[in-house]
Amino acid sequence: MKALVFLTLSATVVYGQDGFPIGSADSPFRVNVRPSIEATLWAADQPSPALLDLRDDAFFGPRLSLAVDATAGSHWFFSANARLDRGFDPGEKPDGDIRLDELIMRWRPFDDQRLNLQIGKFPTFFGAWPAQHDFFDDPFLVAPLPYSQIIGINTRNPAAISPAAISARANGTGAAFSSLRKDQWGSMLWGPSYTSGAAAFGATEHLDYALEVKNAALSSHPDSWSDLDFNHPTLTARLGYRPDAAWSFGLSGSRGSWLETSVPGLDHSDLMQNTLGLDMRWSHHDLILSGEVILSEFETPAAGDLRTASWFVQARWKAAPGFWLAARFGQIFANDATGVDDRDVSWQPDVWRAELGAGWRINPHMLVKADYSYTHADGDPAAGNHLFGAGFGWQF
Amino acid sequence: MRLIPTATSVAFMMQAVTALAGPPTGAVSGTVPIPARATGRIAVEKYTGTISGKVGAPPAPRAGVWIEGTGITAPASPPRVVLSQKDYQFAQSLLIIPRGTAVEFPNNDNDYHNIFSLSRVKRFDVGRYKKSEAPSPVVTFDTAGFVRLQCEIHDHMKAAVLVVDSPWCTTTDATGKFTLTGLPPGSYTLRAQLDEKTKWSAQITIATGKTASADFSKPAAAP
Repeated sequence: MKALVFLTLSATVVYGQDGFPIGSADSPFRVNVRPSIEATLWAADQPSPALLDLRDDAFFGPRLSLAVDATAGSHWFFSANARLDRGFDPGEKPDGDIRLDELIMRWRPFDDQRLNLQIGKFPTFFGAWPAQHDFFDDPFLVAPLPYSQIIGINTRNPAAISPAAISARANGTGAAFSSLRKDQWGSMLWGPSYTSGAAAFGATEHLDYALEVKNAALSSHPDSWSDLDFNHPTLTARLGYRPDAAWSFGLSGSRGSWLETSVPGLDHSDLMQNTLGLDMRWSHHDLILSGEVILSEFETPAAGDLRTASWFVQARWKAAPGFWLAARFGQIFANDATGVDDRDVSWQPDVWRAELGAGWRINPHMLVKADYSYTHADGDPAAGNHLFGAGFGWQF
Repeated sequence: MRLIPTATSVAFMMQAVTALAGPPTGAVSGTVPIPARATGRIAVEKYTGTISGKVGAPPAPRAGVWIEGTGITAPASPPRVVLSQKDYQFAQSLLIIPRGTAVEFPNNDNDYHNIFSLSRVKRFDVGRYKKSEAPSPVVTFDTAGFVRLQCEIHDHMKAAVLVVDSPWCTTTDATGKFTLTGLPPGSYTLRAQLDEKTKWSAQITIATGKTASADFSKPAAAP
């Protein structure tokens, strides 16, 4: 950790523009070390909305990132991103955590983008948001609703989603939905899902595609992403169509076991998460409109197939050079589970979230962002609603 | 079809116009010690969705060269110039223009570009423009100084506009060589600049029908 901090600060002091470049532009071997600081101050109701795991109403989440990009010739690319912070999700590890979030080795056999093959630990190709999740690209501080909302699937303990347990939560005798532990219960997609595996992807003028095989399901927690166990792989694909630069459409699908542990008597192949997604983007001059619709089905041992549908739309408008305003709205709906005595019971409340964001790029390397969101879960008055974040990013 | 001059052709035209006007003129030539090509961001798309074609080599670094002297100011109506984007790179690493010049930024790639600058001299953002869109965005640079350009979508794309208060300006070639012609006889300050910090200057005397030489072997003191 000390070495990371030292290297980051050293590079920061010495180089002010494009990180720490090694090798000339004419050299076949080039390395670019790029440190960045992303610090966010959060203020939230308790229990905190989204995937935040805050113990107090206010929380300071500094993050030190060290990104290394390297090329060997024009066909090999390497990238790694290490982070030092207080948890992948703010508050998850308040005493500090250091992780290798991304590790990419890519081979591109042609000079254009028609085919890329890569292995490592990288964001999922499902949907459109993961490709723009970086602090300096995303107009918000919080991921969209389907990527950042705990749902009623316990990926560590299937007994917690037995008909009896679901019925107890539904009739108020069990734990409230808002009190579910975030390290036990899943999200439809957990953020950018930096799972490990291999992918083939490419793009032409109008079409793009991606196929990935990875070690964990889209709903899995960050601490499962580095577990190199491919006995129950998740297969994900996306097909995109761009009529021109302004429009983009994508269709995604994913199938993999959502169970993150081994449970005697349960077969991972009987507990699959099947997910379909449709994404769309339109942009013109200062305006970007985008949205996604995601349907996910979780097979369970006894409570039937638990299905969720979620959507969100967001807009970003640049009001002045370097300054933008953004808004987003999303919802999650769910079917009923099979409860005690085969009665239909709710396993997941309907949720909606409205968000406002603003960003100011002070100079090419410094960015200030603010984000307010209001999350409402039906029938769960104890759930926290308000979340405010103010973030500062400095990319060296 | 519109014929829009490039930066190099503008410099040439300005010199030619001066030469055709009749008064006897001279020239200056020399070499600016441009350093080996610096590395910038690696031009690889880390995530997908912003590059669908082949990425070209970045433009070679060049310096801008111009003369200053008593009574020399930018022309009242300098012609419009073009700085295009092709193969996910700017066509030139540096554009030198007289103050008041309008620069057009056409996109020749199939994906969006979004040229912007947060420099104090000129802060602007043309938004997302596509290949087929006409007219291309145009920005007028009305203050002298060094303006860094970037593409919001492609981090590796970098260029600069050097705005000078002089009608006599040009860029070096990739080896640093330059020639300014059509200069009226007299004594001037010849300046060269590579980026915000790397500058040179020299005193020169232009004589009719002769080409002066400039020595830029040492960095200049800040003007």
